[in-house]
Amino acid sequence: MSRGIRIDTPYLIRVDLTQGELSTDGGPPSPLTEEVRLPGQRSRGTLRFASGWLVVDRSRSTQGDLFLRYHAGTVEISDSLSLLCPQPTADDVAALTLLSSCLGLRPGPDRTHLRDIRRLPCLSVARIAADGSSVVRQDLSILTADGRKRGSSRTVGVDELLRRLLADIPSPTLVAASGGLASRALRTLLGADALVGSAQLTGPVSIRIPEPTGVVPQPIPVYFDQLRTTRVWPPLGNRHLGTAAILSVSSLTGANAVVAGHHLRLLLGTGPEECQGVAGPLTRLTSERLGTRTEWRLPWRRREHNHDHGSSPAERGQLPPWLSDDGRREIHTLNLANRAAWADWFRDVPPRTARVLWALTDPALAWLWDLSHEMAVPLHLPGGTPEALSALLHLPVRARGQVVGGRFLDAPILRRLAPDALYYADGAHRHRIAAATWVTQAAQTIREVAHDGSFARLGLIKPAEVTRILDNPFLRVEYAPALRQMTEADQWLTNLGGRR
Amino acid sequence: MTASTPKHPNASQPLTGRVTWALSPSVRLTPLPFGGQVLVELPTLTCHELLDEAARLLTLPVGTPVSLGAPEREFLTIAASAGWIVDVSYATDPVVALADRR
Repeated sequence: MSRGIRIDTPYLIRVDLTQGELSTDGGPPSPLTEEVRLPGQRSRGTLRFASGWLVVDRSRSTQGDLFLRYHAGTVEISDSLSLLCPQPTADDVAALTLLSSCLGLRPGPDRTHLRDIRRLPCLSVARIAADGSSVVRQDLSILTADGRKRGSSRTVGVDELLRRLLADIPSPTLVAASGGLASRALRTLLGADALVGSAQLTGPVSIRIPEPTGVVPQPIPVYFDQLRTTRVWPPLGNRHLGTAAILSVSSLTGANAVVAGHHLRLLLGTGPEECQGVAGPLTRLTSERLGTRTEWRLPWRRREHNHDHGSSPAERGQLPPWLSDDGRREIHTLNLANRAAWADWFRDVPPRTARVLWALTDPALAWLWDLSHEMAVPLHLPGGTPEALSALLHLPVRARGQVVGGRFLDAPILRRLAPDALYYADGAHRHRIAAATWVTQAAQTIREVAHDGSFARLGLIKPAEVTRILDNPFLRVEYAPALRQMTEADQWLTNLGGRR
Repeated sequence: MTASTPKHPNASQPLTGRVTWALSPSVRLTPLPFGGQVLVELPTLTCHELLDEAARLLTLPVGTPVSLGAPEREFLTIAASAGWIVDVSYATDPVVALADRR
């Protein structure tokens, strides 16, 4: 903002549902008679008041979240959680939702970790009545309608499309490089002027400055426990930590924008259900659906060892063993409800679109947007703009990554742009290694928090089980991400203060 | 496999004796970066996860004095029947060792 760059400032709008009046920060209320466009590029949406319902229409925005709070006939709408709830106490936090998101279970589409605040994800429409009852539904009309009309895969090449998207970003741009393929491709596209920041999840952030400026590259130490984050966001050590660290040091480098390659590889990939059609011989060889895993073992070994190693316990639908009976029951119930809500959200959505939408509606991305507001540096995710989405979703399979001869080959464009990228499974893999390192070093802290933390006082976890897991190296590594997130969220919750 | 340790009437009592076993040449032990070891059976490429204590028990040098409780003995029995360790008791018996060398 200080450098004269347009950055969407966060806003807070109050709508009186009984009177049908709208007021912004400190302004006088004005009647809401016609459609109002919400400010901001990313949180684009409209407000409409129709027959007693307030309709918040976000069906034309593909990024960012809106947060709503209903209180006594008034709805407060903001695109920044820290503006809506600047000083939360432990009583405002839905501890069960917080704990379940630490275990890798995503809260329902309209839930946040704060009890009174509802989330309105991208590509959705909400209708709120004066008594506070509300309905939130997804609306994907923009993707299907626009994508089919444009047919951009034939008219515009993928690299041309990406170039066009990156052209609007003010320079110098800082690329949040993870070491993965998408960010390496973005570096190539942005050319030599771009700054490159890479965050080792266990160490300092290093920012590489291009040669002509003559500045010696120097690592900037940012440790994740000191990461400047707003009070309202729990420090969930998830896969967006690297981008968050780079955002928080971006002001030191004079960068005017941060670009991250989230979703790009996913958008340019192929799902198992599409491989079925192209992989012909493979399906005939194995007679199994691709994407399923079976471990073939000798019959007498099969019983003792039949889980698949590729996915985390949460993905397999298992809860970690350290939950108490009450905690397990409550989290199981909550998760059933959330999964039903998401299943409803993605009903009749093609699998590929659903996978991309699942990544775009990640609640942790909202934390990145809030952080970018706070640091006054705009964040760009080129894979997430409406133009990119509708074009990339309709790319033919041959232009995307696919399974060739049993191996996954990345999309031709990514391989052309980033021939020297190191292969990583994905951000979740790096995050897992970082978590294992952290848990091995901080075992004592974890033990203390498990015995005397907020979750333990609520009776949700069994400390003895945590100790047992910490003592076994295999279990410790298996549950490392969940242990780390739980410990850090617990400390955050304890520091909030309040009645609990 | 605990050949040199005489059978004791009370199984819960720890038995003292010397190590008479060695890791079989058909298995490999690999330490993992965050603790624990993986034992691979080379003929079948079957992997087993071993805690550090278990792996240490398997790789003790032959002839080391050991005290074995019931869980250790049970584990060694399993390891012997799975073929992870082989009996090298002749190496600790001077007469057999001498005869072998001739």
